[in-house]
Amino acid sequence: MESRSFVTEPRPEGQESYVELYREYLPRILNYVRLRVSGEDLAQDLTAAVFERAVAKQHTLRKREAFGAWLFRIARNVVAGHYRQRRPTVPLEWAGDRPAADPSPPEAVMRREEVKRLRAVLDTLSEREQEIIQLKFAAGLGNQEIADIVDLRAGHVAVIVYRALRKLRARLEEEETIQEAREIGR
Amino acid sequence: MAITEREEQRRAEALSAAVDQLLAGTPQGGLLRGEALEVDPADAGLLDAARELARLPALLGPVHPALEERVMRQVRATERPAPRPAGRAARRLPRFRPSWAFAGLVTLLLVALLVTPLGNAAVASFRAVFDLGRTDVAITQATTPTVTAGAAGVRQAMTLEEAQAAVAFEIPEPAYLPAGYRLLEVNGYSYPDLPAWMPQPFFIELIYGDGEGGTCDLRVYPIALGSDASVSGLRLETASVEKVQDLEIGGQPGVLLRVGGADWQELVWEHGELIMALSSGDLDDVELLQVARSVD
Repeated sequence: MESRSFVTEPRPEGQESYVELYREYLPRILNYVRLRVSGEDLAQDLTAAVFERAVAKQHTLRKREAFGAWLFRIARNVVAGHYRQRRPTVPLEWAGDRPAADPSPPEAVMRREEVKRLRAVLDTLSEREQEIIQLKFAAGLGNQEIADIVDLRAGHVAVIVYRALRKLRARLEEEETIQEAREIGR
Repeated sequence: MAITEREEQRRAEALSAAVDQLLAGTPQGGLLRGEALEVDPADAGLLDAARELARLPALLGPVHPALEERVMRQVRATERPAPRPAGRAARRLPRFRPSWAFAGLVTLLLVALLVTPLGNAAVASFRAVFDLGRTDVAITQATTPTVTAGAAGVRQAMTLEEAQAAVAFEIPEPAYLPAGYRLLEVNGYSYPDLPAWMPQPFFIELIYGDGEGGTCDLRVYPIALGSDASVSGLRLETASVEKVQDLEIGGQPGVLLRVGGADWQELVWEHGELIMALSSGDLDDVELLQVARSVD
């Protein structure tokens, strides 16, 4: 019986499929969007919208090497478009820690709490620092690729990463001290 | 001790190289505490922060198979070959860069903001926080924990009776509606990410309309969320606020906001233990106010 595969025909050299590139960038885009918006469902919907727009606009991509920066610029626009829409949000005042009666497995809960903690730490940075740190660590991009996305020089991106990490280290140390003080107090 | 720009640049480049090495070695965000990554000794501590952040991909989790299938189906359906390397025949005129247009737009906006009274008013209103008594309406970046209405929430269509049974507060309704308007839709918004003890649905939305496209939308938020949390303010994120007006509704201060190219306006006020937000793109401010003042 003839075997079936998604690869239906050989391609001449230089005519490689974009499918693998899209597949490679999917987790990076998703992680970036996850940190830009609240809620997994929304992050997935926006990520799907990024790829839908990218596929529709692929004819505008002139250089294959620019694929990553091009795709992330689309992701930025999609996220910005989401925030441009009417979006009322409600700050909450909390009256102390309460254990959440969450039915999820403990590991998933711990992971979610860790993400929440890191997001709270990232929130102390400026908007630009946050985005560059998200592109660096959640999307795993190099400085040049980040520079192409945010229209800065790679050297400038390095300095922003450096300054942001200094702030984050101070913040994390502060958290650690508070945690230690709590444990001593118990 | 302060360092020179050149020194900072050198250390930043070294740190970035180490971070890239760290990220390359930790596809799953695992820690590499034992590995020697070369940075300025004074910056060694920064790698600890970098290691924390390098865990993010693993903490955020993999792509859900359903999303991958959804995306890859789109990609495969419209797959095109990559362009051939540019040759002599491929020389083109300089390509239009969106960043040029953006820079031009920003310049124009800055000029408008600096020289026109309208621009100054817009800047002032954009930064404003309006005190409603127990809660505020803010149009600034929030730094407190937030939930996002209409985005992360799960909307559930229900009848008014079902909505009333689902919440601990009495859902108020306007006694006055413009001619032809009636209740078209009731939705409850729940937020699965919030702790289980938080009352859900978090708020109720009543949509009134004339059946011919004209609508107004009343959202009802409780201020007290059980005994452990309360809503301190309603934050509106928007590109522009064109008009802000202080008003009184039922003896309480309220605020009328005209947002986004006069496409819609929103009236926000407190009603006992509730925050009310009435918005419409179809009703003028007089009618909107009349509806709001009839809410009981």
